[in-house]
Amino acid sequence: MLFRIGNLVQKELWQLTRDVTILIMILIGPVLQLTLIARATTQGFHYQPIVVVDQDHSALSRRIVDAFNNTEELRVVAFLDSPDQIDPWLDRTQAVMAVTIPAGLEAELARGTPQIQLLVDGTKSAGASYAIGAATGAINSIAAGQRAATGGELPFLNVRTQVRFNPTLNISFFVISAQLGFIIYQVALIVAALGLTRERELGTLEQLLVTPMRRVELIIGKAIPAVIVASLNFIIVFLIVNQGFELPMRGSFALLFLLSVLFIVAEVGWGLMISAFSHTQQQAVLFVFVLAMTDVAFSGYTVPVERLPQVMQWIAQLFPFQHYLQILRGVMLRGADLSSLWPQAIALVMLAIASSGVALFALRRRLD
Amino acid sequence: MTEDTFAIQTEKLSKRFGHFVAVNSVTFNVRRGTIFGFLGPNGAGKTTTMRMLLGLLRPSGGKAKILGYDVAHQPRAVKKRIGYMSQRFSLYDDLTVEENLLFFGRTYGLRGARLRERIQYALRMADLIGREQTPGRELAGGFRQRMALGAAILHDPELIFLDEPTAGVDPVSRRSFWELLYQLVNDEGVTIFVTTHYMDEAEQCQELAFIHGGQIVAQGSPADLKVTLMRGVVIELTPDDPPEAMRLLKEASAAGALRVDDIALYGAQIHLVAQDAAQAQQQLAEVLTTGGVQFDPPDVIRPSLEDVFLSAIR
Repeated sequence: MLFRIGNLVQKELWQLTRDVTILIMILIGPVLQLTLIARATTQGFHYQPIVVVDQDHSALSRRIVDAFNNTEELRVVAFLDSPDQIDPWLDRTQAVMAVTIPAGLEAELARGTPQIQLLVDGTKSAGASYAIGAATGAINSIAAGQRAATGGELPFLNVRTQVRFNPTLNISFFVISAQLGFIIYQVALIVAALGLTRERELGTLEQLLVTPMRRVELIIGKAIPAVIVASLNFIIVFLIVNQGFELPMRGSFALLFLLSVLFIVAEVGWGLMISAFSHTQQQAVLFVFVLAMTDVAFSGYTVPVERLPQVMQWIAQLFPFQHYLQILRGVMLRGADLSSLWPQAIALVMLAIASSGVALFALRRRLD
Repeated sequence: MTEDTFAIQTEKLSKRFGHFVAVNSVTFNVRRGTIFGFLGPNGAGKTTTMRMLLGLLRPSGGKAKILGYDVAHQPRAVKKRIGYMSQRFSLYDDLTVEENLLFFGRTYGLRGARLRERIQYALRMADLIGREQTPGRELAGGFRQRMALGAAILHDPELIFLDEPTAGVDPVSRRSFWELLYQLVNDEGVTIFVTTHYMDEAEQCQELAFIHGGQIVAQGSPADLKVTLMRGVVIELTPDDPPEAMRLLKEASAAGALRVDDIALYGAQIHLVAQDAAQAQQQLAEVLTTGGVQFDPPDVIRPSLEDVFLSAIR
């Protein structure tokens, strides 16, 4: 039995190393994806040009402008005389934001209702919201200092703002770690889903089924290469993320690797299930797409799980990706170990057993 | 001992898909050490029957014994002893000839010296020496076919199933392929079960079964079938305008002016099946002369398998 499984695994690996599409997907794809995303999330928020309309010309307004220039995100590129001059700057996208400091700001302090207006370029929503965040942060820190100095109690500066500020680096860590998880996810799923489907399409599956190879041997022999390839891919992408993008690794690599393999096994189970229902490779790829969209929706990758309706939150527990993302971020960013991550680890173990079991059952029926 | 005499024995083997009966109570025996041809038009139940014998499909009824083992209950005992070559010469295009043979050999449990020896044998037999490192996709049709046969016989099977093995292969390769099959039967004593719809190939088999509409309509050696199955005699006619002649003859037959059982066009010839040859020859001469079609004097000929087959399913 082991001899036949080993033989099948070796054959699969021979084929995978010759499959240019898979190699591109495993090696070049992740580097490209990560580079693009990392640039999009970090570069974009550095030194964003803003313009200031200072109608107050007070010591306070000058301190506010200095505070803007002291952030990493904002650079004041021009001072305008009146709000009427703002539009051309924003229209020609020479500035992402215009800040209007009204006359009498310092005087209004006493009454406690000073107004600072932020006008942003809505078409650059990501950059704009970061600019708002940075500006608000800068203004608030001045306000806090002022309040401490004067002993004032009312809200000091009134700025219209919806976005709370997060240091940009955290945001890009958040996105890159999710991307790392997603790349592993894709590879495990695709390799597992295509393995048997390709043989069915080429007619070689029939050839295998008339040999003394057992169904279980065939299924395990197809699962192992997918696990190997995705695990190798994890190591490669982890190194890229850790060395190339300086994502911190504060926890244990051994633990993260072990839990990653567990996650991969769970996803390979899903991939094998897809191969049980697909007649062609094309169909399998479409199924992978649908599943990936569902997974992403429930993963907290785009919308935090806590914001989903209660029922959807329960459903979200069934998708391994969600648990894995928490593990990934926990171990890498917080240095978490099993003492805090055990619920996710147990969930992964159970989901891996469940998906492999269902896949085995579905495929054995399908192969009969 | 029937188990020593027969490689395949089926008893009322049936397969239904929903309401459709693909194979209807099929019973036949295949003697060991022979080439057994399984003939029938597309959709007649050929492939379904073979898939049941291979253990790829569960029969809805009846049973099949392969080399003395019940396929339904001892599938692995059967699989170790049979070889199978599908229509598509299923092998891995991205692996070399040698890798394909290594993989299939090991799948059948061969290893070490025995594996190397069998691979050498398969390479020699398939005339693939020197092409060991060629990827499957670069092999021409005839080589692919022989390599697939090579992969199917690595484990020295007692019985080989071939599903339309020469579809899409040129005539020269076809001839040399059949010579290989004879070699296997004569030298190694294997049994070959082959489906085909080439009648010239069917003539090469020692035993034939015709399947039509899921039922076996005739069985026997090609020579026997021509005697026992052919109702009437075959008259061959060579007219100068075959389509026009066909039209005239069919009209006459429908009107009762020509008493024949069947009229079929064979290239430039027309075959007519009649109970009374002399009467039919006289009638067709009248029909054609009246219609203005020139023709060589018609002959009574030995029926081809195709004539027999068409006669059997009429």
